[in-house]
Formats: sequence, C-alpha cells, structure tokens
Amino acid sequence: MVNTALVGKSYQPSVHEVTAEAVEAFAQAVGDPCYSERGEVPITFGTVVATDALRPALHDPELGLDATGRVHGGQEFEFNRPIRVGDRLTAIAHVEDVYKKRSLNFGVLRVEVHDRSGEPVFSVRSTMIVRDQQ
Amino acid sequence: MSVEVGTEIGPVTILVTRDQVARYAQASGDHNPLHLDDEVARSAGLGGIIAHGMLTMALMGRLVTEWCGRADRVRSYGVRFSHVVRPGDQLTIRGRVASVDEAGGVAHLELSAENQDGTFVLSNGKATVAMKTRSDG
Repeated sequence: MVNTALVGKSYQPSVHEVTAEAVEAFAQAVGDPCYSERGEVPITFGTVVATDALRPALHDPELGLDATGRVHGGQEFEFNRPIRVGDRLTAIAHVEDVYKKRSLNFGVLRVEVHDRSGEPVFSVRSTMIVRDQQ
Repeated sequence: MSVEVGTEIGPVTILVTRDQVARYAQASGDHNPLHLDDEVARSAGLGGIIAHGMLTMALMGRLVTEWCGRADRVRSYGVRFSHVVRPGDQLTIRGRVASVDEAGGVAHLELSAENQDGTFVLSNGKATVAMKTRSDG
C-alpha cells in the first residue's frame, strides 16, 4: 500500500451545514454540556464535518485503507476559530503521508475546512493503520 | 488568569456504556458495525463491540473544555488511540499543564486516559488552550 506518490493527492470537497439539531445530538451523545449551557459546539464535532470529505480517501483503492481491520491510530484538530451553528463549511481531504512500520501501513489524511467566505476554520489530521494481509 | 505549570487537570472517571456507543454512532454518523454488532466485531477478532475512538476522544475533550471554561478557547486538540475501549470500561482521564506561553496567552496541556486495568487507551493527548483574560468569563 505504501505509495509515496500519493502524498498530496486531494479528493472531492464536501459541504457541511452545521445545524443546531446535529450539534445538540452530538453534545448529548458525548455528555458535553457546552451546547446546552453556552451554545458552543463540542471540540470534536469537527469529525462529523470531516466525515463526508474523508470517505473517498478511505475508499480509495490506490491508498489501500479500505479494509475491515482498519484501525484509527490518532486524531488531531487545529482550530483557526470555533465551529458555530449555522456555519456552512467546505471540507477537502488530502493525503499528508503514507509510511510503513514493520507489518503496519500508515495513511495520514488531513482535512482542511473553510467557511463560506473562504476563511480557514479548522483542520483535522487522522492517522489510519492497516496491517499487512497474512 | 495565571496558570501554573504542573497544575493537575482532573482526574475524572467515566463509565463507557453500550447505550452511549449506540448514541454516538447515531450522532456522529459512524455506523461501522465494529461499534454496533457483536457478531461482526467477534469475527474481526475483537471479542465484541468496541467504542469509537472518537467517542473516547470526545469524553476527554469534555475535561479540556471544563477546565478552560469554554470550548471556544481550545486552539488544538490531539490524541493517539493506544488501546480499544469496550462498553463497561471505566476510564480515568487526567491531564496537567505542561507549559505556559504567557506572550501567546496559551497553555499547553498533556492528557491521557486509562482503563480500569491501568492500560492507556488514549496516550500522547495534547491540547492548546487560550487562557482567560480579565475581560471574558
């Protein structure tokens, strides 16, 4: 799977509307009072925003991450500003890195998220791990 | 607000339940059967369903937000998923202030979560938070 030529590859952008219903459901599911008390969006809600943008990368046969045994190795968010209810966000996934350690294949995907005026809102880096087939 | 290096954050203990995993799947849109279907999870060698790593990350995120007072103050937040979390696991989540950048107005936190056996489920947790100023709450 390790094909360093894929580094820099980007995928189809996706648009995500941040609704109060979605934020409230997420906040309740994780037990975070930030929405009910202050109308804030939980800090990991960005994963919901990034989901659609990540899908084509996760299913990209060239990248080889589309395996049942795929493990989520790590996740890092960097915020330019908080996500807010009412945001209309455009997310685009890129391959940031691919590498191999022993029998483990790593794919590092980065999703960049901008608002409707083109300003960056946040980015999130997801590290996915797939073990070599026996 | 003055924040001292070494200040402890938490610990808090949180029980992960099957119901919470199901609700997280619904709310996050991550319907991977490894989190929902024991049969599928067993056939994948997991011995039963596992919680979403992102659910565990969100539980730790609550501690970060509670500590700094507002989600909007969080500038970055990252973790490594180091062990599976199963329904019934009792997680202990804690952190400390690793460094303070007075000029930048931010504190750098180190965080981790371990299960009831003392195994780290989230390691290398890091967050950067803006420190409170007098003008805000």
